[in-house]
Amino acid sequence: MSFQQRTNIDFADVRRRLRSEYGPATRFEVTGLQVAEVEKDLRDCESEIHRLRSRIIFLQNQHRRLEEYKASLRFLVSPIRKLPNETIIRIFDYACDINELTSKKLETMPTLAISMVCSRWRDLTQAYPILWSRLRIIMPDLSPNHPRFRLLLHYLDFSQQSPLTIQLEKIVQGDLQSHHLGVCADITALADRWQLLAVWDSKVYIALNSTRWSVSISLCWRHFYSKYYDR
Amino acid sequence: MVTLVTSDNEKFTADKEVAERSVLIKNMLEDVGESDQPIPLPNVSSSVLKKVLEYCEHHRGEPLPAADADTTQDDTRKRTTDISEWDQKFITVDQEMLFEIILAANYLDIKSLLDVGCKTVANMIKGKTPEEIRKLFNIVNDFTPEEEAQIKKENEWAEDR
Repeated sequence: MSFQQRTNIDFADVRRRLRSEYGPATRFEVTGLQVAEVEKDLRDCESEIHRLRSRIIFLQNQHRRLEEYKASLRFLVSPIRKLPNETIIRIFDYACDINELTSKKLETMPTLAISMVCSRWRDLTQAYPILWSRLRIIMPDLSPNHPRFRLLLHYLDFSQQSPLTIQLEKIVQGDLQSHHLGVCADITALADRWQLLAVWDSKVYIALNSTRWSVSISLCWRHFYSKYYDR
Repeated sequence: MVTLVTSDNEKFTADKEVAERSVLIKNMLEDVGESDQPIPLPNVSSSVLKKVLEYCEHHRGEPLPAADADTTQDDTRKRTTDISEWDQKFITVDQEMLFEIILAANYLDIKSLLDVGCKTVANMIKGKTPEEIRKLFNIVNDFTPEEEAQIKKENEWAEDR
């Protein structure tokens, strides 16, 4: 039941009395009953506020659920859903031309971003290893936080046996650190899958040569190019 | 001239050279031989066919891509998402029409038009977060809690946390 107020709030009267009824001769006419009635109204008012707040939260949740339901129904008839898998993959192939893994922004990692959109897109990206095989790493931007570059390992894992296009860009100031060398080792381990490897830094080139050399013994300059050569 | 009949029963006439930019229509014409019989296109509406014919008319005479050409080939240059100025203007349509054109290009087997459509969508996707992509195409996040947990982990790897 909604709140029914019993107290008659008459501020004008109470103000008049506040300004005139004082001193030892004053006969106070406010009874304990009146105060108790106001207190009861206050309690009822508070419980009504509480009830309405709960109702608002309930309605806000319902509103959110209805919005989600409407979005789901809309998506069911969305034109992009009509595209066959092979066409969607064609789109992804264009969108995922290169993944820059060191930016810390999903916007530069299209394959990962696409795999996080919905279940169908995730399944499709994971079923097409080539989408995970085109990588750019800005060597000075590599974080020393972790001994191995987990995002690189994730991409290499999903790239399965696809030929790899890897760009190791820019020059590292000073000596290479363990996290740089770790990346070089992970990449050299897959030397047999290199399709294109671009190296900017001679220190990185040497590091790639010195690890797991047995696999890449036949490595020659055609596997490498620099940004200058590419122009 | 070739007569084409759309799903909403509208008839279009086009030069054979223009219509044959569609491999499907070319093969159908070869199958039926010299004939005035209209070619039914039950998967293409009149509004979409009008656009498709506009594209074929503009590109008439240009060499057709090889049948086995594929975007997943090695050559990086072939994966460029550059679109010519005319094609870009042509494909500046609402999303509904864009996907209908892609579907029609796929059905009619017009590889160059399919590529224009796919590149356009790819350019819309590029440089966006998953949430922005969802918003753009009205896609709903339908992941299970397990998938969500894995995605959260991958997000952390991407942000190097």
